[in-house]
Formats: sequence, structure tokens, C-alpha cells
Amino acid sequence: MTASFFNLNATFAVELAVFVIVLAVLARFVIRPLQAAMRRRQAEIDQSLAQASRVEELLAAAEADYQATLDQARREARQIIQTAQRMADHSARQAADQPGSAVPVPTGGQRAGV
Amino acid sequence: MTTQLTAAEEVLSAGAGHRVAVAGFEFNVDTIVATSAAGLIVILIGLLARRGQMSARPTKLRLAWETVISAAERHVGSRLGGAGHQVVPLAVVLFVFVLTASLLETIPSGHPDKALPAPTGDLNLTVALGLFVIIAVHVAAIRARGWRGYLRHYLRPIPWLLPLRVIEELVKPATLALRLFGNIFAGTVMVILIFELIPPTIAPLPLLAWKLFSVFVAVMQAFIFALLTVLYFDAAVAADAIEPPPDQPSPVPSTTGGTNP
Repeated sequence: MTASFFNLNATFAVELAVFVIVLAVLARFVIRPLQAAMRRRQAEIDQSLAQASRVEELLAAAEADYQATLDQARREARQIIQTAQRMADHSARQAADQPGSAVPVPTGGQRAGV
Repeated sequence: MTTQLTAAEEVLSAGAGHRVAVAGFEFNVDTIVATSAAGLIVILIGLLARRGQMSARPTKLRLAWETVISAAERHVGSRLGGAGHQVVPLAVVLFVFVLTASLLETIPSGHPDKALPAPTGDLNLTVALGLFVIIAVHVAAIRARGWRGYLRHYLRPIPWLLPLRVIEELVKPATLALRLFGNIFAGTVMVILIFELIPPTIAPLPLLAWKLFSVFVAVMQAFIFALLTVLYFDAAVAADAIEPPPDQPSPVPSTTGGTNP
């Protein structure tokens, strides 16, 4: 046996075969499935993020809608109160104008203050 | 002087280990056993990683594999088109297999004639890997460019550079194989020299330091081997390196066209 590190021999073929087997097994049974799983997970994450932003938009729209409805309700309430006040003032004035009525009628402003 | 001569002899045959001749063919038994062991370890680790539900929360082992895979995918990028599909598994297996094979040597056996020598310290494995990679690169290049495009690229950028281009292609597998072999073989030589030349009482200290460094070298060399593989594929089939012949449509899949900014 000669002492040399340049010892290329038939081992080469065995090494090549072992590597090809390892490559085939790992690529087929480990790497491809893992790649598929990674892509699936990435798709799920993307979908979740898209959904989250859509939910955020919906929430913002709902909040704006709620605020608008509330504003309108307030406006209507104020209008109703004003109308009621006017009507009360009107009927109070009518009652005061009628002679013979001894009972003092409270004004609309006082009633509204209760 | 006698000690040094013995050391020199031992050093020169360090990569080979035991040899057996079968039907006129010589086999390095230690290398074959160690390569098979490394292959089995890698396959076992791989199968363990994919055990269980793929949709469930990934285990740490699976995350380690996914880290290597996504690193390979990042390096391959989208430039390789259809070939990238094959390059990622090749790069991942090369990294994991070369790393495992090189690390076999760092398992302490308490003897310079290690229980399992690093098979990457034997030219037979590194030349096999280098040749496999380069043949795969050329096959991918012919598939991507067609025979005419493949042969024509040897005449680029200037025709009279042809001899240099041919030498370049021949040197690639040689550098791949010799770089890995040299680094790991040097590690084996250092272990033998430490045992032979340093008194046994203090030998464990430099040995420990050297083995720690060997781990770093093993990771580095496995990474370089895989990275160069990706780069060679990239140079051979990347979309911007291919000019479509005027008479036939471009062999590049249309999906790679979108990568240009």
C-alpha cells in the first residue's frame, strides 16, 4: 500500500451512489413536503393578514355609520324638543290670553328645565 | 526523527483508512462506512422532522430544516425559473450531508485512528460530489439554452477566449472537490500531528481547541459548497444570461420575466 492522499479508486462509485440515494430520499420525502408545508403556511398567513385588514376596514365603516346615525338622532331629538317647546309656549300664551283663567300655567322654558 | 517520519507516513495515508480489494477494485472501507453513516443520520433527521401533522405547529427540528430550506430558496431566488425547483433540494442536501459527514470526525474516540473518519477528507467523496454538481449544472444549462445556445456561450464574450472558458468549466469541479477535501483533510492531519508531536499530558488542550475550530470549518465548507453550487447554476441558467434565439421562442418560463424591476 502506497502512502498517498491521492487515493481515487472504486470507492468513488460507491460514494456517488450513496449521495444520489440520500439526495433522492431527502428531496422526495423531506424537502418537497416541507416546502409545500411552508408555502401553505405562508398562504394562510397572507390570507389571515388580508382578512384582518378587511375586518379593520369594516370596523371603521361601521364606526362611521354608527357616528352618523348618532349625530342624526341627536339632531332629530333637538328638533323634537324645540318643536315641543314652541308648542308649549304657544299653548301657555293662549291660556294666559283667555280671560277668567286664574290658574297660572308654567311656561315651556320652566317645564323643559325640570 | 523517527517519530516525525512515522507521523509523515501516517499523515499521507490519513484519508484512506482500511482498504479492501474486491474483484480487482479497491475500496476504502472506512470512507464507505462513514459516508453511509452520515447518509443514514441525515435521512433519519429528515424523516424525524417531517413526522406528525404537517399543518400543526412545527417542531424545533422541523424549524431547523425550514431555516436551511428558506436560506437556499433565498439564495436561489426567482432568477433560475424552472431549474430553481431542482436546485433548492440539491443545495439543501449538499449542505446538510457535507456538514454531517465532516462533523463525524469531531466525535471523540480517544484515538487518532478515529472510530469514524470524516469521509469528506477522502477525495473519493468530494470528487463524486463535485462531478455530480457540475454535470447537473451542465444538464440544466443545456435544458435552459438548448444545445446551440449552450455551445455558443463558450464563445462569449469574445470567441478567442474559448480555451479559457473551457478551462474554467474544467476547473469548477476540481476546485469544489479539492477545497472541501483540503480543508477537512488538513483537520485530520492536525489531529494526528497534535497526537504525535505534543506530549500526551498537554495534548488534550490543543486538541479541544482544534476540534472546536473544526466544527467552524465544517459549517463553513458545507455552506461554501452549497453556495457555489447555487452560483454555478445561476451562472449557467439565469434568465438574464440567456438570449433567446431569433427563430424560436425563449426557453425561459414566462414567470421569470416578472422579476425584472
